[in-house]
Amino acid sequence: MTGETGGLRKFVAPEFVCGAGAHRLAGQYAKNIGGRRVMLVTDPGVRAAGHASSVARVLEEAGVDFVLFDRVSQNPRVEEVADGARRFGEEGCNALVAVGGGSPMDCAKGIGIVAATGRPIEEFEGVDRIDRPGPPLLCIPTTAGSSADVSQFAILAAPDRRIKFAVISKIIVPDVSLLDPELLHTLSPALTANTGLDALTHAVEAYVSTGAGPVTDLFALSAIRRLTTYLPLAVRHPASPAYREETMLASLEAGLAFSNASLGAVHALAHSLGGLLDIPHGVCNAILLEHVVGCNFSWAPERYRAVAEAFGLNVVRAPREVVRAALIDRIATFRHGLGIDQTLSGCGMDAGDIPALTRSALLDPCMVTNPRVPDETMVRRCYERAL
Amino acid sequence: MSVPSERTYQDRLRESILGLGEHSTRKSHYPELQRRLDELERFRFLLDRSNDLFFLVRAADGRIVDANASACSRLGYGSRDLVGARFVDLLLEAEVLLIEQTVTARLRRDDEEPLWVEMTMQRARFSGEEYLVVVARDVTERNRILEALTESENRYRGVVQQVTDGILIVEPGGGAIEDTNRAVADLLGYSHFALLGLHTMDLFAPGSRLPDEGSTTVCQLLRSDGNPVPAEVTVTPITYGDDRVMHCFVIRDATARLEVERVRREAHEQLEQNILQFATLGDHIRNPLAVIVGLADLLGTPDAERIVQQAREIDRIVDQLDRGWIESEKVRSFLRRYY
Repeated sequence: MTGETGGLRKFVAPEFVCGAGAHRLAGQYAKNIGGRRVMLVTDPGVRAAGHASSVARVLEEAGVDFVLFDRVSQNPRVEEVADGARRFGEEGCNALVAVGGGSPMDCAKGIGIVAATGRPIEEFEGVDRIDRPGPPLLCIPTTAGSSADVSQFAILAAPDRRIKFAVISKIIVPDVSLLDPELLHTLSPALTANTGLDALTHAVEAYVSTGAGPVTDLFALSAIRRLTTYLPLAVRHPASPAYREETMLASLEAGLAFSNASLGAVHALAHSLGGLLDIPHGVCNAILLEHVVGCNFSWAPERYRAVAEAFGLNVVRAPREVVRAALIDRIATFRHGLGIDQTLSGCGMDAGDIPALTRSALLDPCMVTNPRVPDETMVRRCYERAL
Repeated sequence: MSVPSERTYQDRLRESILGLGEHSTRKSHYPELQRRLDELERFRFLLDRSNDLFFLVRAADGRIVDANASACSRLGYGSRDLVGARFVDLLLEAEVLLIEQTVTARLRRDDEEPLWVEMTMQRARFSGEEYLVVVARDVTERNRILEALTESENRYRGVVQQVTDGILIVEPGGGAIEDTNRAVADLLGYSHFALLGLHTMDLFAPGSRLPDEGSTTVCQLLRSDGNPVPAEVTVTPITYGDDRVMHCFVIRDATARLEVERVRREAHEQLEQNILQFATLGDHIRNPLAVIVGLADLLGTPDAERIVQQAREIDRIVDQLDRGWIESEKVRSFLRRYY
């Protein structure tokens, strides 16, 4: 029983253009969304890869004035959001163009909220706290994983509290996403793997979420199938446009699924961990996924069976315990095959951190759609197994 | 009081995450646009009801792109007539128009009557285009009041200038002369403007003391040629509207009054002298008269009897004169008292 609206499902997605050369529509779209002077939000890595200047050139050609803001960390911080919003106002900007992975896009979402409301981003921590839309936001992802370009989530770090927190609202779903696989060519194999495993986790969690629905299921299963097939190929053949495009499509599908069905314990645990360790979000997810599946399996065995099938396992008539073991093994094998073979202790976590991490994870909004109602024992066990 | 169960809270949170919360809707700028339009409408309402005239003029061609209702009604045009018109065509007369400075101008009304305004222009930039925001304030009524005030002040000034007593408005403590009238200029031989450059003490003879506030004192003033002029000076404080306290010196030429006093004093002295001489005259007559009576008695002739009778007649007359002296004393006392 999930309340009066338990059976209702909603699907919100931005306008998106997918395909090679999509980023070259940035100028046209910036104008279409009313951008007169836009803030181009990116980060130093994306800038160094030349993607920011490539988009800047397109904006210039279209006659769209812009201001560059690249003070965005790997885990964007509240002060970076405040700084960006201040500049947004001072420079007289009226729209945002985010170029990069999840970090610049989440930071741009935060800048938009603060610019529109004049209030600190911390006030919007949680779900459905925003009552005013930010300025138009156009996203150009340069990774295939975060799906921040289509999602209702913005994950930000508050270093003084040593946490990462989520701002969740349909109102921050971007207006337009230009998904251009050409921009993925510069991704290293490690980053391709990290971000791809992030997308895979999105898809798995969205499918087993208690908020899943028929439409999100389509995208979630398709994303799993696409990623299990093409992510290893994209890691091995980074210059292949076809493989890159498949991973980008998979990320889009996973994003559409999780943005509407929400996530689960993997992300709740990873957000908690992200406040402690400054390690890539995709790596956290990849390490935790198989252990959370192990804890959750009994609460949604048939959903996990479908996940296992999407992973390519022939488990149609297999007993549940067999499916559980096969799926956990498949996930572990898959990530090890992509070179993600760390443990949490190897990343700097200590057993002594578990109680605090557990408390924080249990408060994470992603927990509410986890198939199993989480408790302290379950969360602690997941951390211990991943240690 | 019932406490919501954890599950209920979780349910609500779940519904919010799935997009079924109160604010959770696909991003749309229309509600915000509507809110801004409502704000704009309210602002427009206020703007239209302002007494001031507002014009938005495109800098590139000087044409009016917007004007508030006051601009239309006070100039007698419809908004369609104003929008698109060249702003300069509205100007009948103006000082040099400078950005961010207030100038006086006359605007052309539809009925060709001029409208006096005080006007300020500011630059503005909207959507990448330069504009001038012109705010004009109708000063017709203010000018009428100013004219009435000026006329009233001129009347008052005329009265002050024409009174025969001199009037000086000065800073307290013998400070600068702030205003004066013609009578002071005539009395002291200065021009009006020369007086305004002086201090109060410049008008008093050396060694003179300024009269105290609220008193009337006869002082020696100095004319412009250095000659002294006796004057009766009364000092009263006056307070201006800005709480500034000044002194008003009312100066009356005392030359004529002092001359009358001198003549009267001399007349009194002469009268005293005459009465004194009159009082001793009887004694001067009686002494030789007694000698005459004595000699007549020694003669023992009939003529001597007649001489004595005449001498007694003279004595009676002297007695009458003595009684007249007593009357003179009363006259003198009267004169002393009243003149």
